[in-house]
Amino acid sequence: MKTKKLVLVTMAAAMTLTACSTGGDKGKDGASAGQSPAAGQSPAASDKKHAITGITYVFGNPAAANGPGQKMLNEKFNVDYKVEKVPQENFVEKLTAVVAGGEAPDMIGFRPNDMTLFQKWAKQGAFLPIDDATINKYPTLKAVPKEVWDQFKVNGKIYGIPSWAPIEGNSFLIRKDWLDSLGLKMPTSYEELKQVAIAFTKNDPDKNGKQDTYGLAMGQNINPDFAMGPYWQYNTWYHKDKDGNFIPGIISDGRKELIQFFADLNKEKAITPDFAVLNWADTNAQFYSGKAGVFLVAPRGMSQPYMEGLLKLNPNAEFAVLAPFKQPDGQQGFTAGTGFARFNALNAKLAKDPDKLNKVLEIHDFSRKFYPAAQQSAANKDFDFFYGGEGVGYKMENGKRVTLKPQEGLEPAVYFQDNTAWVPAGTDPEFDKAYTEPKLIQLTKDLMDLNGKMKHYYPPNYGVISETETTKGAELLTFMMNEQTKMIAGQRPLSDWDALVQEYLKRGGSQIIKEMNDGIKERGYKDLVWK
Amino acid sequence: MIKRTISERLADAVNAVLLLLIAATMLFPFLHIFAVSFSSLKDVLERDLILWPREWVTDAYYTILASKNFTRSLGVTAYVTIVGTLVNLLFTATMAYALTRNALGQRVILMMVIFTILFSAGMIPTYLIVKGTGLINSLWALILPGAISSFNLIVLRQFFLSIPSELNEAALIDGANELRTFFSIILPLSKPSLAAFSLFYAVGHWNTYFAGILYLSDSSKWPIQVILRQIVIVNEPTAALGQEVMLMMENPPPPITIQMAAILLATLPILIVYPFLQKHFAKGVMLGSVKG
Repeated sequence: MKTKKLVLVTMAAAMTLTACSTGGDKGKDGASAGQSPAAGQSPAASDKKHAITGITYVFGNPAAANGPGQKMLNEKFNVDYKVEKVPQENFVEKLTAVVAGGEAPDMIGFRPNDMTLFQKWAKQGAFLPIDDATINKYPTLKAVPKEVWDQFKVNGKIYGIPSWAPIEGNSFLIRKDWLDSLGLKMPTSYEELKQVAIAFTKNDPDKNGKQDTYGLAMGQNINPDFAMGPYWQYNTWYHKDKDGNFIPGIISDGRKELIQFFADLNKEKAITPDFAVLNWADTNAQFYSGKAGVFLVAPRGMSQPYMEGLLKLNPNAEFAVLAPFKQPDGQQGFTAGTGFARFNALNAKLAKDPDKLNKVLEIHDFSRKFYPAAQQSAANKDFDFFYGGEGVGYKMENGKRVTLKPQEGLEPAVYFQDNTAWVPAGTDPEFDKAYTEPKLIQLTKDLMDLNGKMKHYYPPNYGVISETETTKGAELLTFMMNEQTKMIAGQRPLSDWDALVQEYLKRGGSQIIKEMNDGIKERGYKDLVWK
Repeated sequence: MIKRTISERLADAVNAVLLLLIAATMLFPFLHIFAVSFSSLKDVLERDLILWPREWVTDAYYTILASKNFTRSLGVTAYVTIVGTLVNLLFTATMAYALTRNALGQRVILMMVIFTILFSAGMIPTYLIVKGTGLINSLWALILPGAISSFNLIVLRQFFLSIPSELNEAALIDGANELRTFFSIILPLSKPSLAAFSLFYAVGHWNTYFAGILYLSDSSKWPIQVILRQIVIVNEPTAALGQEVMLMMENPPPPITIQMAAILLATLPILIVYPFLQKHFAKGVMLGSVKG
């Protein structure tokens, strides 16, 4: 009987689902009717205690539900605030299930890769438009540049609130002590980098009498990409075809040059052996075990334990950051980031309850507040509250905030929907504060200095979505990576490059290029933008 | 004693060596994980392949066991595994037995069971049922939706059918009703197959991952596999492409020693179950139950 019942319920559920999807369209009218609810409302809201819900994703493990920080948050804002934090790799499945279940939370988080889902739902009227009045009212929304807001426009209205991310680019770090011991200078072109990498492989740069070192640490999917400028980058749009349309980096001349470069190095054993099957953790280990001489350096998110491991093995290790190389077209610089990492949308239903909406935005604004170094102390009440109070949630060590018992949820910070501070333009985001290892701090500072000195390329594709890219893009990219890996390993000749590009175009690439260029033209982007 | 020829002995020796080699390839990853988890990060970086720690360091275990998340979710998984397996066995065995009896509609119900093997409802309809029955955010959501595995049910029913009907008749003559027959005659005879199915079910529960994320919004109820994945794979997007690379960069992985210690701690409990169930697989249970 159980099974029979189950089948019946399943059928009923399937019907409910159909009902849900038709229900979604009805919401459209509701959203457009309730325009600009926040406009003209005063922040002095009533004393009603609102229940505010949210869903977003986390890396690593979230703090316990209902920790002391959660209670502090609820008391401070007089709300019943609850944000569900889902592991990022299954976030979309969970999100779609929750929304299909008919209980879309008040605040919905999205990963940068979920742009298509966001746009789809925005078109169906699921989200509240964010109008100018709202943006001007809250400082952390006002601080978002127009170019970043533009990426969240659907049918002319803004539906997403971005979380801050640096526009500063990654670069590559090189073992300075190895360069010095071999009497080499910093490479400034791929030709010089090739000579350095080969010297690292053959001339025993660590002087231990063994040939146990090599040049570039690289893993599967040709990662990191060792692009020393947008010209060589596979995941940006820099090159144009003969009709003047932008084409993706993966099929560009720059990429071809780079694949040739890797193939040459592979012959000399100057890149990681068996790189094609090496995962990211193992790729890291190649560099941090003192085997490889060149690896990725990013403005934030470097691993201090790994760096300490390397310095224990090679206490004399010194590092330098490679500057972008001069491109064949004369330009030189980094590719700017999109300026956001994750983003949030607000439920269209909030339009019906302006008082609650005010509360949501007030809390959102509070948790995005940036505290410059000078304000990071218990003397700043907001800062002290956000991180759970000095001596309880955190302690200060040499001017750095150190979280106490991170998993117990002592800081309200971990319970907010968006807890990334929006760093105002022209402010130093102080990434080096994340570390205590002096050499890592210096590396981060060097990279940021370099970013400050160099120009940045603003690609045309930001905020442009191609339907084909969404459905076929990942598969196509994997295909290209596999084929290019074969070229590096010598299993497919590089003379096949044009044939490979044709294959790419045939498998959906030309459709992607067409759709992207339509979007780019609509955006009014013509000449390459360097700032 | 039968004398064995030299070629027979040789064949035995070759077999033994081959099987030992195969066993070694199975044990090798465990040994590696074990050794890395007890090594210092410096050692791991320095040496290419570790099969035995050079110096014994328990830092990784200290870090993991100090994390309440890990121990709590280990407890959650143990609870779900034990309770879940009991629920599985009870429902699967009773329904399988009922389906061996000639009752009205028995074939129709059997067809419906087979239907669910061929067609499953999919994620969202199942989510809606779980939500509709109020199981969201309850550990029962990890147990009840899969209380009966259709495949196991059919195999167990087949096993029950293989028990000679004379036993039922004998029980009936002795005055046992269906319930009594089931619990006193059928179940004891089915111990080996029940042991096998409890192992299938238990391992399934131990590996619960996606249901945990889907149905439980309170992270303190997450099963161990979710936590393990967050420790080990968070930084290992198989498709490390596009913008994901940036996300990955900003969340560096914990050191490899901690990852390995987490894997070991999360796998060990279910591994220990195997030897205890082994004895039930002994053959010959049915031997001599029917004479003549």
